[in-house]
Amino acid sequence: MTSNLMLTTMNKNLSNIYETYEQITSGKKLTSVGQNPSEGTKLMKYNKQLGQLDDWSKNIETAKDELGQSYDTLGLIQENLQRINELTMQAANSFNSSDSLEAIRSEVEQRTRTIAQLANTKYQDKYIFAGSNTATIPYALDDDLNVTYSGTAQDGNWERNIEISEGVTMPLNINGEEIFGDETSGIFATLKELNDALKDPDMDIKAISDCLDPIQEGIKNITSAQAVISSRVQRLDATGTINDNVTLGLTQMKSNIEDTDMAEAATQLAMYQTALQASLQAGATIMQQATLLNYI
Amino acid sequence: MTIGQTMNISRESMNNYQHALAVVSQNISNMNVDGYIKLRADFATNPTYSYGNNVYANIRGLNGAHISQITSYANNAAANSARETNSNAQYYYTLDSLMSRLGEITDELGENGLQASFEEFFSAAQNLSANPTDPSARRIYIESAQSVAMKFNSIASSLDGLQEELVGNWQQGATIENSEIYMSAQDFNQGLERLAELNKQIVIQGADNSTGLINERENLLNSLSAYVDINVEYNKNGTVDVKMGDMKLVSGAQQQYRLNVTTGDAATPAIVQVENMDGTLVLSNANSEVSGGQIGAILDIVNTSDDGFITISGMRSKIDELANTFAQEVNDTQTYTNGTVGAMALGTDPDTGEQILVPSTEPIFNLGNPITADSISVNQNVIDDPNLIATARVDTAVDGWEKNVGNTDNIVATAQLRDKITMSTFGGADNVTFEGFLTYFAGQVGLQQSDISGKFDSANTLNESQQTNLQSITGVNLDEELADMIKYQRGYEASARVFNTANEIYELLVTLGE
Repeated sequence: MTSNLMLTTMNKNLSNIYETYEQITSGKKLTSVGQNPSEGTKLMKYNKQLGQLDDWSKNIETAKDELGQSYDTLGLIQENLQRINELTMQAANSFNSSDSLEAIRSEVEQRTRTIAQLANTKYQDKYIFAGSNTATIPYALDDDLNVTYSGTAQDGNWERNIEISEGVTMPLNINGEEIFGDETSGIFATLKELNDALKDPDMDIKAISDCLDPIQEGIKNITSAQAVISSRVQRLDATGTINDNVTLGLTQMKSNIEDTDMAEAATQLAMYQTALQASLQAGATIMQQATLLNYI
Repeated sequence: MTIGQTMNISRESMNNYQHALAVVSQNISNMNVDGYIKLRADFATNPTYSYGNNVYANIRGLNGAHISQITSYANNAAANSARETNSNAQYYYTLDSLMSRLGEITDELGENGLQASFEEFFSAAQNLSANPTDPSARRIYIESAQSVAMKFNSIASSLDGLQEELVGNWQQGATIENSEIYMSAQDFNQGLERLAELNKQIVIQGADNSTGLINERENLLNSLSAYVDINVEYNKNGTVDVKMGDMKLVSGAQQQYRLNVTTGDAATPAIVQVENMDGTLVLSNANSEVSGGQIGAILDIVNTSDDGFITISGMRSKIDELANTFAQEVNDTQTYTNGTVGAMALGTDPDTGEQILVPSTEPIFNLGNPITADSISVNQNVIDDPNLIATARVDTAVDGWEKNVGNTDNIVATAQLRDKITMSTFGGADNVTFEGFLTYFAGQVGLQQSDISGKFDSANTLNESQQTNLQSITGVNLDEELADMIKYQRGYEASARVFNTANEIYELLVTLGE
């Protein structure tokens, strides 16, 4: 009878020791929902939220990368436009021989093609200024600098959206047509006119100086596009910071429920080991208890 | 002659003490036998015969003592009480180990849970939204969909496997004969048969003469109580009757009924039946009579009941519901149409060879009515050609929509399914997301698991104290036996001494006057 009792308590102590040991080696004190249903379900919810927050933060990084690429490309385009502006002013305001005019025209054509190349920049195999027509080259220039715009229309469905927070999406791109225009209006159309005017043997100064305002307009479009990008990046940063804070809070709460408190567990382990030792010793004494046999 | 009488009494007394010592020896040698009920020799005075009415006559009438009976310390009430707690403890023990197996199958906190698969799927959708035309992002998405389907399949097959182990497959009647419940019922029936036999033997030999058989019978009754909760009634002639619920399975030396198990339907896969010894049915559905013990536990975990207890089939139907709703929602988004707006997959322009959008008609998951956890699978066409995944959602009324290959509206909508309220936890209006449903359900299973675990702990403790109690009443106590042994030894010595004294007196008597 007493031996049964001893066995039961010894087994209980052993299982306590084993459980505590498991907690220490795995670092987790909650491994199944059955151990503690209310904490376990909380843990499941935290896991889901943390997963989502991680996805959103990856999306935010991707957005910042692509928008950054757009921003830099726009900067390069702007540099070229500024140079074209200088050349145009030179052609319009000072006396030029037909040779020097030809030199100007040549550089203008060169830079126009460079701008078109930049406007056709690809980021990870997608044309970034083509709206959602990412497989189609947006600005095709022919030999006469006639442009064909094949991107998505400004009033069409050009946004490429990703989710950055619950129910909140943001476009990764900016619309090319809005910045550079299309075949009939916009910077490429202007540059075609400029090129034609510079080629004209009659040296039509008026036509050349008429291009100055549209070129400025073009530069302004680029600047405002860059501003749009900046404000988007700012929003992305702000959302990212909020997401990071929430992640931190959730990770802390998750750790409180799930992680083993090493100091506490080590102390408990020592306690249980002592209890086991004590029960074994007491048991041994009981088993050897004196019976009448000893005294007969 | 009175000396002779003295010698007779002493001789009988020594005989008695020898016999009493034999009883002590029996107890000690059976000390470690399971379920042994200790014996005690009871002494009683022999009736006196008086041939006169004076003191000397009265003394001549004294007759010594004899052993009147061997009393067994059997305590039927304690035994019954211990059997009841044993049934209960066995019931909760079985339930507890089954619940922890169920818990392992739906282990949601590990990396192998369903939630982890959902996480992978929705992450892949988010990744695809950042790069809709990238072939490797598409491949990752399809693979994560396959991984979700495989997880569902594996949970379904584990649940089915567990149920088949316990009660066979209700759709294939013959499989019940390999199941645990059937084997237990057979063991139970064999026990009943042996019990009837023991009863018969005990009656033939006489109850006082059958301590060995009675011990064996007590052990048998204990092991029977582990299968089902039984009521044992002790009869005056030394036999026992065993009742299960209202049915008397064994009456004295005759086994009246036996158990059979047969398959039922999806809601009640296992049905216990009671039949006559010749095989004719008495009760075609005795499930309500069976409670407690191992068989009762198996029935409770397998058969649907009204009290909200989660059963294996209950779990299976919840997982099926989740699989169906999930697959439907993803498919609906994949083939979304609303007026001129539709979901679009990637195709190739036959004239130019460029990548263009084409209407999406292939579902991600194979259709079913409904889709279940074991049937959910990814459409092979989409596995073969991941371009069929509909990432874009455009209005076909707008010119040039075919070129909008970079549009991500449909895949963003798929990713946002994670937060969409699509399921109901109480059978009414929708109130949770997929993962909310899974969490609620895992919580219910976990609650039941910890509830059963607690009940097992207390049932076990109670059982152990009852068994200890029984043991203390019927078990051999070495001190008691040794004390008796000394008593009988002294008694024997004293009787022998008296005999010797009487002998010496007799010798003197014989030589009187020499």
